[in-house]
Formats: sequence, structure tokens, C-alpha cells
Amino acid sequence: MLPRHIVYWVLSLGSLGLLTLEAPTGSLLTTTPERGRVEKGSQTVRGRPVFIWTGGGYQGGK
Amino acid sequence: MVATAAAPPSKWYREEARLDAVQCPSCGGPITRSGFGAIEKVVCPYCGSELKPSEHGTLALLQEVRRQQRQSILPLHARCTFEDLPWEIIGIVWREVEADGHVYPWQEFLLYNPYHGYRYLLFFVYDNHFALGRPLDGAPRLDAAFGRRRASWKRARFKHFQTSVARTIYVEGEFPWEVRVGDVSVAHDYVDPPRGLSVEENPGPDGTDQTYTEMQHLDGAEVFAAFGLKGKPPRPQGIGPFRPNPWRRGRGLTWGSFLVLAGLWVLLSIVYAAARDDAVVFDKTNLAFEPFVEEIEIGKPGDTTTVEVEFWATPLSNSWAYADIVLVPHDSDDEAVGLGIEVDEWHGNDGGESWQEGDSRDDVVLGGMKTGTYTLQVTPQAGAGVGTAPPPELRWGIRVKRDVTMARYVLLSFFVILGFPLVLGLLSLVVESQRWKNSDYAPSS
Amino acid sequence: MDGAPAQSFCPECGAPVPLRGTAVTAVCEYCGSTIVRTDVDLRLVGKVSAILDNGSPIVLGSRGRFRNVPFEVAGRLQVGYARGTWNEWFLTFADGTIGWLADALGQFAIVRPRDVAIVGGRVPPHVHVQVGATLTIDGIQLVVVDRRVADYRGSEGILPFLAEPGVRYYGVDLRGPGGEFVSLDYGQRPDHAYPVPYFGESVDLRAIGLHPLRRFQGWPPPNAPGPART
Repeated sequence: MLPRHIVYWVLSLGSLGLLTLEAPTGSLLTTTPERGRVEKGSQTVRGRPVFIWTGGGYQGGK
Repeated sequence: MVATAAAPPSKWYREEARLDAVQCPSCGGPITRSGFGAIEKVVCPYCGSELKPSEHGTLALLQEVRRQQRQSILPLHARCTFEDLPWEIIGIVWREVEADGHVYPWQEFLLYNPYHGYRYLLFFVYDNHFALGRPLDGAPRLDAAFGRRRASWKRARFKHFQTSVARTIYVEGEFPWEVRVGDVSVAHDYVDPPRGLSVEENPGPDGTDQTYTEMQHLDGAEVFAAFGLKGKPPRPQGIGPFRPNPWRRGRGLTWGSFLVLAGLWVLLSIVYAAARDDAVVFDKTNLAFEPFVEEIEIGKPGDTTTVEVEFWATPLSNSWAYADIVLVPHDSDDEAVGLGIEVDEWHGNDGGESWQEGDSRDDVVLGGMKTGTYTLQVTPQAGAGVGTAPPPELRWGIRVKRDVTMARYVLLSFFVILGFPLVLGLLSLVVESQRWKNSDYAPSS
Repeated sequence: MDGAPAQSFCPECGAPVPLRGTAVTAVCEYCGSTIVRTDVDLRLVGKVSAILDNGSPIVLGSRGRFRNVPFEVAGRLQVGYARGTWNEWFLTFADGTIGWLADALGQFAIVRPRDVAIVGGRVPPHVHVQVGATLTIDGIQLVVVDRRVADYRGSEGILPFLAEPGVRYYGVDLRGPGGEFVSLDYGQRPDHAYPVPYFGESVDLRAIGLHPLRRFQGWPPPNAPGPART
């Protein structure tokens, strides 16, 4: 048992652990979307509320 | 057995063998005789004169020489420990090999133990490597396979490394054979790191003599420890012919671990994929280009899951579409999630060459999403180049899935599990090619 | 052994001489004369047992164990050749058989005689043997490592053949890929193809438990072996 074997097992079991424990919820390795508070804005033509981001930040569009 | 009345008289050759101190008949320098009776040749360390021990213990002058004594990191009569046994340096020889116009010198220290014979401690001056040689208790089988010469001894197989002509250029001390400056011998070296086998042909009075020596790589630190020397041994350069490959250490365990981990990976990947619902929670297509809002159920509340949002627009032709998507959880204590997805299609003809790029559908995977009811709000936009209007018949669609299978986790562990031993293997190949660069088999540049 | 008394005495000095079993030559421990046993009586060869101290750690009368059979070192033949001298120690085993312990340049090997028929006519005469050549003997591929002509130098103890000055011994040593050691004894003539083969292996003095060993000034004596050796 050499240090390299320990490193190998730690890294491998770590990545397998990610696969087993993290992948179902996908908290890591995924796109980070914008998160923030929204408030209801004026109604749309169809009567549904439109949500607008509060507090600046996400501006949308290109 | 015959019983004798009295013990027979003792014989001098059964008594304790004594050390001797004599003077060199040529220069008068003090010579300590510690090889006992087995010595055939003595070379005075101080002047280099060749002397022959007589039956009476005196030294007869064979050849008067005047040369300077060479200093050595390991001097005559130094004691050391190898193979759990004590040894003493009784002779030192410098030899050299000439190759490609370069001269490669090394030292051979003759180690002696009266009960175990001789060993050869080699120090390669040109690259600071050490090796311990031991006369072979047999003869190796020499043959050739696929054009490569091999030697087999007991259960080890050695590959031919080089054949060279070695010349003795300096001698001092005592030797159990006739050694002199100017001796030339042909050596065939075979390697199986960390061991080696040397087959040496020495011309002698009865024809050519073949000697077989088993070589073992030694680290400078081992040698210094064996001699009880303080300080740091000289740093070795490059890869010696039988210096063990550091990347091969523990190779069996590495690949054994790989098999176990690969098996685990297969098992866990299958379990992971099988346990995914990959469920479509919302799917609508052929929508007109105006804001869209709908309530969707992303699973039953109380869980955290992955969500894949896919957006497409058609027909795209040198135009783009963009969706500004917001997912607002019903439980408005939580934060809303916003993302954008862009799709496009561009094509053209550059002087005869037609090209096309872009994708009319794209998706984003979100992680750490709480399950439950959400309001899905999509604000689509479209355009076509600078200053042009989007195509009128453009329609778009959206699909939302939950608990999707993500290949990236599977691939990550795959690359770690396979990559580690592969990288070690590659590094080991690099070292081996460096080793064989110094052999007779180096690819000629 | 007709006519030879149970206990022989040195014709020169009268001391008891342990000529026993198959011994043909013996050296008187007291006066150093070499005595040769003929069919009729004991012949005195004279004080020519000029043993050289060539640094051997083995002493006459020591005991050891080879392949679980105890032996005693009963005699020594010292021969000189082109590169120096070496010793062949005559071993008598507890089961009545004999063997030889070759002792040269710090390497040791024990060999036992086998039937001439194993090699008879299938090996070259001594004059035609080449060092480095491969010979297959008794199914083993062996390499000739030494071909030598050795002259009698001296002896001590007892030997099973005639050993006196002027005698030349023609011998060939072969070694195998598994540590095998074979010695072909062509006797006193190099021109025949019927040497007596001796088969054996290299040995380590510790492994055969040889004791007592010679003492060397400045070297710790090796430990005596325990009562039972595996």
C-alpha cells in the first residue's frame, strides 16, 4: 500500500460518492441559475400575473 | 569413527588466520594484508606497483609502477554491511567503457568476507548510480526471442541491454585473481529492474573465461547507510539500466484496485440510472411568440431534485430565439429560479463552401431544486441578424423534466478510475524509454 | 582391503593413521608424510603434502549437513591451476556415501558421484570441451563454465584415490539455470569421453551448518548452529 494507492482510492471513492449521493439532487456540477425574489407585476393579457425580479441583478435578455 | 588417544597436532592452516602488514618492495609504503590466503595479486595503493604474494607471506615485485593514488569516496579496508553480513573493501578498480566518443568510468570495490567470498560494489561515476554484484551460483540460459537477446536465471528473465568493451584503468589493493591495468574484457549486460545480469568474457591463459554476476540496484542512501557514512550521497542522474521504475511500484495493487473500482462504477452507474424517474412534468409545443405562464407540478413536495428545461424554436433560418424562463415556487418563502436558453441557426455560402451552424433546441439542467408546485413563466424573444425582423411563422416549445440522469457524474468517476492507472502507465513508459535510450537498442536519431 | 589392518600406522613415524573405508591416500598428521594404500601394504610417498593456506574457511574434521544427511570433512585435495589454487574437500556422509565440497574464490558447491553411464560417450573428451558451450546432461541444459588442468599441490586427511606429486587432474565444471552444479572428472587423461560425473549444487556455509569454521583475525566467528536444523 503506497501513498499513490491511497490517493487513487480516495479520489475514486470520492467521485463514486458524488455519483451515489450528489447526482440525484444535482447540487454540484450543474448550471447555477439566478435565484432571487420576485414580485407580482401587472396582469398579462391572459390574466396571469407576471413576475418581475426584485432588487436588480437579473435583467434577462441577451 | 576412529578414536585417537591424543588430539593430533595443530596445523598452521587450521589456526586463526592473521592479518599482515608489509612494506611495498617498490616504494616502501605500508600495505595491510587483509585478504588472507586467497590473494593472487596485490597492487600497492600508493605507487601502483604490481606485487605477487609468495607462499611465505612476502610480496614479490612483478612490475614497478609510478602513479598517483586516486582518492575514493569509499577507501580500502572500509567495512560495510550487505545481505546482513559484514564485508571489507580489499581492492578498488577503476574501469571505463568508450561509446559514441564518450568515456564512461566507474569504480568497482571488491568486498570480502572470509566465510562468504566476494561481492562487487559498483559506483558509476558518470551518473552516480550504485549497484551490488554477486557471483552467480550457476549459469543463465541465453537465448533470443523476436530478435531480442534474453537471459533466464532461476525464475527471472532479463533483457539484453548492452554489450560493451571495458578497460581497467586503475588498480589498488588485493585481488584473488590476476588483475592489471590495461585488462580488457567484453561484458554483456542484461536487465530486469531492479536486477541485472552481467556476462563477462575475460581472455585468460586457458582460453576465454566466462563469469556471471548478478547485479542489484542500490540507492546512494542504502550504500551510505551500509558504510555508516554521514552526509548525503551524490545525486543520481537519469535512469540507470536497472534502476527500478518509480511509476511501476505497486503496479499489481493499482490495477487490482482498478478492477474493483471499475466494478463498483458499473454497479453504481446502473443503480443511479435505474433510480432516475426522468419524468416529464410539462411539455408544450407550437406556442406563439408571446409571454407564457403556467402552473406545473415538479414532483411531490419535500424532496430536492434535478430539473431539465428544454427550449426549442422552429423554423429557424439565419435567425435566433431566446427564452427568458422563471420558475417561481408556490411556497413563496423560497427564492425563484431564473435562466435563459438561446437557440439559433445560421448558414451561408463562402465562395462555394456552404456552412451551417447553430442548434434549434437546447436545454439546461438545474440542480438542487426543491420539489413541489411552481409557476413557470417564459418570455420568448426572436430575431434575425442586426436590424431585421424575426420570421413570422416562428413557433416555440418547452419541456420540463425532473430527476434526470446526468452523464457528467458517471463520466467524472469513469475518468478518475481509469485515468489514474493510465497516467501512471504513461509516466512509466516515459521512464522506460529514457532507460533504453542508453542501451544498444536506442532508436538512432 | 585384503591384508590391511583395522588400524594403520604411519610407516615413517608410527603414529596412527585413519585409513578407513574407501580411503586410498592419507596424510599423517604428525610427520606430514603422504601414505598410499596399495593392495598389499602402505606405501610412503614422502613429506610432500605442501598445503597452501589459500584463505579457506573450512577446516579438516568439521561437520555439516547436506540435504538432511550429516557429513564429516575427512580430507582435502589442494590443486593448482593457471589462476591459482583451490580445494576439494572429501566428505563422508552418515549414510555411508561420499561427496566433495568444492571451495574456490569464496564459492562452495557440494557434489556427489553418479554413474559414468549417465554421460559415457555423450560428452566430448576433455581436450574438445569449449568453455561457454551448452551440454545436455541427464536432461538438464548446462553451460561449461570451466575447463581446467590441475596439478596436485597437497592434501590432508584421507582421500579415496591416489594423490601424489606429478598427478594431473583433468576436469570440467558445468552450471545450470536452476543453480545446478556438475563436475566431470576425466581423471588423469584428457582424451577419453567417459568422465565420472558429479552432480550437486552451490551451497552456502551457513545453510549446511558447517562447523567449526576457521577463525580470521578481525572477523567475528559465525555462530555455531543450533541442535536441530530444518
